[in-house]
Amino acid sequence: MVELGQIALILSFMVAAYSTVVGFAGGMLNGRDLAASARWGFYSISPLLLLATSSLIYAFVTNDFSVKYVAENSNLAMPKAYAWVAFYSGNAGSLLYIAVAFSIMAGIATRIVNSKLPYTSPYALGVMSLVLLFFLAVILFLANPLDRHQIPLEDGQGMNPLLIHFGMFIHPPFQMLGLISVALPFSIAIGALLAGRGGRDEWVDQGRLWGMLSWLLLTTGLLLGAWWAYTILGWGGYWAWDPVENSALMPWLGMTAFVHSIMVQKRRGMFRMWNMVLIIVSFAMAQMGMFINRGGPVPSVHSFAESTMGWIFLAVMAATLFISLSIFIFRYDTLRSRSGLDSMISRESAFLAQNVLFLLIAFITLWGTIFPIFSEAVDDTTMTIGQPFFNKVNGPLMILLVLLMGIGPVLPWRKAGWTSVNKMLRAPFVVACGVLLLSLISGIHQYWVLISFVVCSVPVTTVVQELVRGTRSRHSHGENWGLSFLSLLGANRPRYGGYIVHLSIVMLAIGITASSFYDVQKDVVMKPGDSEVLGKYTFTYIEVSEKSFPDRTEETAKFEVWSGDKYIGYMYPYRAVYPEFQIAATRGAIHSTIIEDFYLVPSEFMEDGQAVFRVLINPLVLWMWVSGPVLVLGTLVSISPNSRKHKKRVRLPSVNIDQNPLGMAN
Amino acid sequence: MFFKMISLLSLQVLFLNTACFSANTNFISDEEQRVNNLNAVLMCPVCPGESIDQSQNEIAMNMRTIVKDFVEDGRSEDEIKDYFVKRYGPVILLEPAGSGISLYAWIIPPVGLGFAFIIVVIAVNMMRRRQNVTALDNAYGLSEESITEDEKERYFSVIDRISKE
Repeated sequence: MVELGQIALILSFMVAAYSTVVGFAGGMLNGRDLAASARWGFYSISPLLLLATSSLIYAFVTNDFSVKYVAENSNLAMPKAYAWVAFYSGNAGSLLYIAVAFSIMAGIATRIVNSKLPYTSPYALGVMSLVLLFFLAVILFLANPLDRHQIPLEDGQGMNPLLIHFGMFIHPPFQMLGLISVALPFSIAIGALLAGRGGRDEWVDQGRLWGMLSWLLLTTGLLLGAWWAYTILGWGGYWAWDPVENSALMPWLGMTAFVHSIMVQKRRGMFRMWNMVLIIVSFAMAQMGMFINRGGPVPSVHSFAESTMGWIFLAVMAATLFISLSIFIFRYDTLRSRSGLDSMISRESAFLAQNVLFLLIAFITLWGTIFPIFSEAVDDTTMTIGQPFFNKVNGPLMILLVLLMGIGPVLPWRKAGWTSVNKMLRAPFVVACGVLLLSLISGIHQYWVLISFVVCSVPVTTVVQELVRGTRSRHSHGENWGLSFLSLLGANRPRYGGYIVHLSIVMLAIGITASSFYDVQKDVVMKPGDSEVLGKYTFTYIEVSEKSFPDRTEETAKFEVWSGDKYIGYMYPYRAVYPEFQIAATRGAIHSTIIEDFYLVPSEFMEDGQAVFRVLINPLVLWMWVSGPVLVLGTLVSISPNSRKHKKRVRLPSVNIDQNPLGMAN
Repeated sequence: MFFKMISLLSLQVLFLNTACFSANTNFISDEEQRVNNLNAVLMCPVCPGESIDQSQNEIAMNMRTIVKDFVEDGRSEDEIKDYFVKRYGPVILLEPAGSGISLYAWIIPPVGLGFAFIIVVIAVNMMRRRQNVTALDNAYGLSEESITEDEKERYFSVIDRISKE
């Protein structure tokens, strides 16, 4: 079975090489047949890779420990459903996952891009094939998950027990897909550049569509990761500014800047060069993420995909940056903006400021992540840069971004008069003052919290104001309220979808602020029968039960919990010990309300019957998880096709000869 | 106008009220809070990147006990940090110190912010210099943004009605 997969891998490698060469050739020689051949070749890669993937999963399911990767990442005790997780839990398998997932997405993208951007498409396909070719080369020559052992083993080593959680079915796939999918808008942008059509804004719609999808995948991956950390890692937090988290955050920051600034090009024909630079930088950061995740130089808790090949990713990242920036400089003259900036106070300049801020946060994050290497090289000082540093330097910048998120969208394009700005910002200002006053009255005295809440009120107010204004203006034309609200949303989906996303970001910001400043944490020692009180919660430790599994022993505590006079019920936090790995995995029991989470987690069960528990009250955390679906909804609204708009289509000339056969810029 | 303001305000209060509930809490003693704060800035020596607050490792647990004992003994925050730095080196602190080479870690971010500001100003000026091009566009009626959002909304609502009829 595995041999079949090997053959499929080798075939897909050859096809990817073919598609790369023929794709670029098709673009340069303007050969439609060549481009079509490259395309159809590319479509055949995903079935081949799916075959290779199935053969690996089959090996996992049938416990074929003669396959090295299977022996390293699973054992007889592993539940069969986790074959899917085991598939991408190691280095080689995750590369295959990235390749297969990317080949499917890129196949779909190619099909759509080809129908909309016939000139750009062959080049874009060439770039996508090249990306895929790189991954397939690494898989085949350096880390092949389908390789066999010389001597077959009786049992495997098993999977890292921290990964045995249903969050692992979705967080890593989304995260990895998010990182690699940055290659899609990147390929389209570079394709447009190579075709000499970067200055025409025709690539913008496709670039935005795939950029948004990639952004959505990255965001979902990050949120799911935070949620996984919160529910399983058992320390009550969700984000630790760990190097790998940082390296996933950086491309997200770059892509967030990109999906905003691409709107300026779409609407105003400006920022053409800037968008190119942004997408190139974002892709480089995504590669950086894969580099740090794969045995980079910085120690991290995410080191389960560790290997020495990180440096290859770094070299390829450097090459990508060099080549794409060279192309950019070579095509520089095709990217002049259609119009200039009219005023400092306009939506364009707000976008610009937002972009620069996002990149700055990305840069600072990178700086903090690699600083320990820097200090060791320069000064021989080993040091750690962790959570407190990043909170202090990035926190204020993020608050600034939320403020910009409130003001930017109500500034008009081109030029804003003071009177109109004044009018638009009056309500937010009044509301912000009200929020400040109420927060002070209700006992919030930490000034960062005050600043954050006040700033968070601004985007909420402006969005609500916009919605009310638009709905009212439609209502006054005779539609009923509900209909006019919906047709308002439908009329400008990028904009109103964006507003929904902004609201979800506010939820996230409020959740993060409240839970970082007002979390209460206490370690208590209890023996069965003891009761303790934290805040309004009274909890009684009833008993502990031990259960043995082939791979672990689980000690589950039983608690009876009251919130004031209200009976909540039993809560069962547990701690599992995996002797083979010398790892203990704790799972907190969480009672969530929209106000706060009551979180119980066992730290230690002692011989004498006593146990140490960590008890936390985390305010407003639920809002962070609610923001996820809202964000997905908003993003989908904003990329849903607008039926009203006339679809622009570029047609190829009917004769296969162009006046510009080399596709050079005019 | 007044009515609108009130409704907006109440919406926000509803949103933030939840936060205020949990805000005035004094559930744990100052001492416990100090222990928590210290735990969050000390790294667990065998689990890179994780604070002893986060880590479930035995060493981290022991270190938490030491921190707790020291705080109860009345030692100051710096004394306790120094104790661990002496044993493990500066690596043990999750936050770089404000002196020596670590100072650069702190200085670069604000410098970056300053740079970013300058970049924006320069970029805006460069773009404004090309304004004459825009003026030309406008003169020939090539600008597409000469109608306001309000006008556009009115326009679309008319189109909507016509297309329904």
